[in-house]
Amino acid sequence: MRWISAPLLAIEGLTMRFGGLVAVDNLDFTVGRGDITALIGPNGAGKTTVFNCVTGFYRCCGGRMALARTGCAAKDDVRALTHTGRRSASMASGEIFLLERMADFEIAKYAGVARTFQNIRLFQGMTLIENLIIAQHNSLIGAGLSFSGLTGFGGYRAREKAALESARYWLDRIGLLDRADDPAGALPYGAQRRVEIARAMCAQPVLLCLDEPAAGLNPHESHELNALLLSLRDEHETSILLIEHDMSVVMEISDHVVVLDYGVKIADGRADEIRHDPNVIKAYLGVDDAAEIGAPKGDRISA
Amino acid sequence: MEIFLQQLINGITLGSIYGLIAIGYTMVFGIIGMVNFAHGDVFMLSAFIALILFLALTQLIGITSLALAFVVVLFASMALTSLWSFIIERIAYRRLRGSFRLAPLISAIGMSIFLSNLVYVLQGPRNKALPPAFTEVIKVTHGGGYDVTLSLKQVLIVGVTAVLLGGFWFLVQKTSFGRAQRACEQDSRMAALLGIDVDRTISLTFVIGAALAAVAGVLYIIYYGVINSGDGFVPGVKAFTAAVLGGVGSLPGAVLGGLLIGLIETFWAAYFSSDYKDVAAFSILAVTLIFLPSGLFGRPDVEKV
Amino acid sequence: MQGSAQPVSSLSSRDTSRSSRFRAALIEAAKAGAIMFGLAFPILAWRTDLNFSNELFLRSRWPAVFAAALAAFVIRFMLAAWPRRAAKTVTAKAGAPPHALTMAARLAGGAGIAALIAFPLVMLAAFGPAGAQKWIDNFGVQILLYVLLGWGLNIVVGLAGLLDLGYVAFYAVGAYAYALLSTTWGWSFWLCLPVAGALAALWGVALGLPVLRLRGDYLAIVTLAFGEIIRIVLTNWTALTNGDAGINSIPRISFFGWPFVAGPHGFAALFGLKYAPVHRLIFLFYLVLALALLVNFLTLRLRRLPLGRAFEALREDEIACRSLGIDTVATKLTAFALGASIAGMAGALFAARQNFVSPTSFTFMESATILALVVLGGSGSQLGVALAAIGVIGGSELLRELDGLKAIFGDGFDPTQYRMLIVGVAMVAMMNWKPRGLIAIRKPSIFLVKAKPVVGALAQEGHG
Repeated sequence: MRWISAPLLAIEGLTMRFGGLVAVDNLDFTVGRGDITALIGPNGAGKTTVFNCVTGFYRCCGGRMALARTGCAAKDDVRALTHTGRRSASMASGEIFLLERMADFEIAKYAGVARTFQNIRLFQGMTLIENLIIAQHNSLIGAGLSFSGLTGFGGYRAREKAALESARYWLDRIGLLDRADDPAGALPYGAQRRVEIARAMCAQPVLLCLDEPAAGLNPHESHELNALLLSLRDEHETSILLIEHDMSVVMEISDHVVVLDYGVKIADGRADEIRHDPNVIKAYLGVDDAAEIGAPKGDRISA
Repeated sequence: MEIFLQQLINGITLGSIYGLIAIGYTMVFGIIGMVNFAHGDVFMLSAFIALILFLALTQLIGITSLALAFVVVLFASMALTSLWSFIIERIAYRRLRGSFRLAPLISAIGMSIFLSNLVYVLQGPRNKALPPAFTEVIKVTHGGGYDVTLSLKQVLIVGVTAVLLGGFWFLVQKTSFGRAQRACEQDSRMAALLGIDVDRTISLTFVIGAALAAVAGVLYIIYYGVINSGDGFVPGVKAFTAAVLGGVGSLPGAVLGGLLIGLIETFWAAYFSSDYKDVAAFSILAVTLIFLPSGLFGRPDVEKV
Repeated sequence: MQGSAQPVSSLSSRDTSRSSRFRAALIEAAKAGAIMFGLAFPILAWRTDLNFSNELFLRSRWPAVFAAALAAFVIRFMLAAWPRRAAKTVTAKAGAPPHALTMAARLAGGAGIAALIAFPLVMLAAFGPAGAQKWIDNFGVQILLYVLLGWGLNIVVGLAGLLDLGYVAFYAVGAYAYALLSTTWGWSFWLCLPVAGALAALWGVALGLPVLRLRGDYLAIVTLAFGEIIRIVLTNWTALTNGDAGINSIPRISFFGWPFVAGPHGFAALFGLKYAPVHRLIFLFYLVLALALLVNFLTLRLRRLPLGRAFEALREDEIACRSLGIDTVATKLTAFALGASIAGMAGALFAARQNFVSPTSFTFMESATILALVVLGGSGSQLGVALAAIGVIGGSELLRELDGLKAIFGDGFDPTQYRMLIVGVAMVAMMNWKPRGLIAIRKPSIFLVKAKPVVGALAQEGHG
C-alpha cells in the first residue's frame, strides 16, 4: 500500500465552493509514489474540481496539498512547512511543495506536476514536434535568452538538439513519429489524446494527472492506453493520478482507487476491494437487476 | 449649491443619452458576446440622418411646427438607422459568428472606420450645426447669483429615456421575443434546437439597439445642436464603459451606468478641468474592465477548464 | 438529362426553371435596390453645406442615390441569376498549401530586399535630385516606417495574439522622447534612438501589467482607452508638450556627426558631392531600412527560440501553456515590451523625418491603420504585413498623386479620408473572405524531417 508507506501527494481537508455550492467537502486522500491512482465517481462528484485544485487552476477554499518532489510527504515535515508560511522547502523527508500556495504554472514548473485535459488542449495549429518542444520550454528558456540563443551557436544548439531527441523518443513511443511534422489539429481524436500524454511526459513530471484519458477510445485503443500507462509507471517511474469512467482501464491498471460522490470520499483502497464495496456499488458501479428484484421491500434502492 | 444642482441636471441629461446608446452595446454583447465597435458610429449616423431630415422638413417641405417635425424625424431616423444596423449585421458580422475570436471585433473596427469616413466623405468635415430649437427653460431655483434652469430639452431627454427603458425592459422580461433573446444569450445552440430562429433574434437585437441609438442621436442633435463625423467614437466608448459598468447584459444596468458616466463627466468638467473630462471617462473604463469586469449588476462567468 | 425521353418537355422544364430563377433574381434585386435606396436616403441624397450667412442648407444629390440603387439592383440580379458554384472547398488538410506559394514567398523576400536597397538610387536616376525627394520621402521612408510599425505590432498581435488597439501610444512616446530630449538637452539622435525604444518598452510594461490578464475584446478596449488617455494628456499638458502646437525645430538627422547642410562642414562637402536636400532623405531611408531588416531578422530568429514559440503557443491556448509551466503573464509582458520598443524607435525616426511632432499624428485611426496592416497581411506573416503596408499606404499616396481625381471630387479632396474608407472596407472584406489575412500560412518553427506549412484555418486563437 504505497500510498501509506511512500506518499507522494498528501491531500488533507480539501474544500472547494462555487458560490453556495460545495463541490468538494473536506477531502483526504494520498497518492503513492510509483502508483497508478484512480479517482472515480459519478458525474458531478467533484473529480475534475479536485484535479483543478491539485494543478492550481482553481484556488481551493481550504485544505492542504503537500507534494514531495523527492522523498515522501511525511506528516511532521508537512506540518512544519505549513507553519513557516512558505510554499516549498527541502525537508528531512524530501523536497516538499504546498500546492495550495502555488499558481498553476508554478506547480507545473517547480513541483513537477503535468496534466492533460478533458477537452483536449493541444496547440492545434502547431505541429506535433512543436507541441512537444514547447513542453520543454523551461529547460530551454535559460539558454534561449542567452547570446548563444540569439546567434544560434554553442550551448543553445545542444540543448535544442537534446529537446528534439526527447520529443522524437516520445513520438516514437506513442507510434506517431511518422506524423511528427503534421499539425496537431489534423490528427484523429485517439491520436490527439496520445499526443497530449506524450507532451505532458516531455515536461518530465513527477506526477502525471490525466483527466479521462480513455474517453472516446474504442476497446482496442483503451487496451493500448493501459499498456502505455503501465510502462510510464514501470519504466519512467512516473506516478499517475487519473480520472476515469471506463472501468476496464481503472480496474486493470490501478494500484489505488479513491471514490467520490457529491464531493465526499466514500471509499479508498485497492482496486479489488473497491469493486466489492457496497457503498461504491450503490452510488456508482450499479447493481444487477436480478439482485435488486430479490431484495426485501424495505431495502429497495431507487436508482 | 446652485452650481451643483445645475451640474446634476446636466449630468443626468447627458447620462440618459449615454444610457440609450449603452443599451445597444449591452444587448449585442449579451447575445453574441461581441463588442459592436461600430455602434458609436451608428449613433453618429443617426444624428446626421436626423439633422438632414429636420432640415428637409423645415426648409424643403416647410413644416413650421417643431413638435411635428421632431416626431416625424424621430420615427424616420429610428427606421432608417435600424435598416443600416440590420444591413451592417448581415454583411459584417453574421458570417463570422463561428470564426476565431478576434475576427468579429476586427470586422467591427473596420465597419466603424468605414462609417465615420463615409459620412465624412458624403457630408464634409465641418461641424454641422442646427438652428436652436426647443429653447424653453424653466427656472428651478436661484441662489448665489446663479440661476438653476431646467430646459424643456432636458425634460424631454430624461423622459424619453425613462419611457424607453421601461418599455424595453418589459419587452425583454415579459414577451416571447425577450425570452427568445435571453435563451440565445445563455445557449444559442440549444435555443436553435428548440426551434428559436437565432438569426432573426440576433438581427432584431441589433435593430433594437440601433433604434435606441437613433433616439439618442435625435436627442443629441436637439440638445447640443452640433454634430461631426468624428463624433461617434468618443460617445461610443463612453457608452460602452457605461454598459460594462452596469454589467454586461443588464438593461437597467446600462442606463444606470450611463447616468453614472454622465454625472462623473459633468462634475469633473465643472469642478476640475474640462480638458481632461474624456480622460476621466477612459480611466473609468480601464479601471472597470480591470477590477470589475462583471460590472455592478452583471453575472461573473467562471471559465470551465 | 438522359438522352432518351421527350426532348420537348425537358426543354420546357429547363425554360421554366430558368425563368423562375430569373423571377426570383428579379425579386432579390428589387429588394436590394430598395434597401440601397433606404440606406442612401438621406445621407447621400442631400449634402449639408453652409451658405453665405453661415446657415446650413441642403444640396441635393438625387442622381447619385438612383445610381446607387440601380447599381445594387443590377449587381444583386447578376449574383442571383447566375450563382457562382462554390469556387473552393475550404478544407483544412495538413500540408495543403501549395509548395509554390511558400517558394514564391521566399523569393519575394530576397528580391524585395534587393529592390528596397536599390529604390532610392533608382528614384534618383529617374527623377533627379529634386524630383526624387517626394518619392523617397512620402513613398520610401513613410512606407518603411509603417512596415516597421506593422512588424512591431505583428509581434504583439500576430505572434502572441494580444489585440492592442492603442499601439500608437508607444509610437508617440518614442517621437516625443526624441523631440524633448533633443530640444531640451541637445541629445544626439543616436543616443535618443535606443532611449526612445527603452522608454517605450517601459511604458509597455507599465500599461501591460494591469491589463494582460484580460480576455481578448476587453484587452483591446483597455489598450484603446490607454492610447486615448495618452493622446489627451499629450494634447493638454502644454507645459511639457506644447499641446496641439507641437514641438518643432527638432534637430535634423546627421550623417554620424556631419550635418546635411550646404557648406564645408556638411555631408556633401565630405564626399565631394554637390549639396542636395535629397541626401538627408536617402540616408534616412537607409537608416529606417536597416532598422526594419534588423527587426525582421530578430523576429524570424525569435520564432525559433523558446520565447517566440511561447508567444505562438500563448495565442493558441493560454491554459495549456500554463499547464506546461509557462509563466503567461511574463510572456505577455515581454511581447508587449518588445512591440512597444519597436514602435518607440520608429517614433524617434518619425520625429527625425518630420522635425515636428504634435498629438494629431497619434490618433486611434493610426492604431487602427497599423492593426489593419497586420490583419490584412496575415497575422504572423512578416511578408504579408510588408505587402499590406505597401498596398495601403503606397496606394493612398498614389491617390494623392492622381490630379485627375481632384477634378472629379473637387478641391477639398483629402486622400487620407479615402484611405481610411478603403481600409475600413478592406478589414470587413478580409475578415469575411480570408479571416487569417492574405498570407494565412504558418511555417512551423522547428521540424523533424521537413517543414510543412500549416494552413491558417487550423490555428486556434483565444482558447481561454
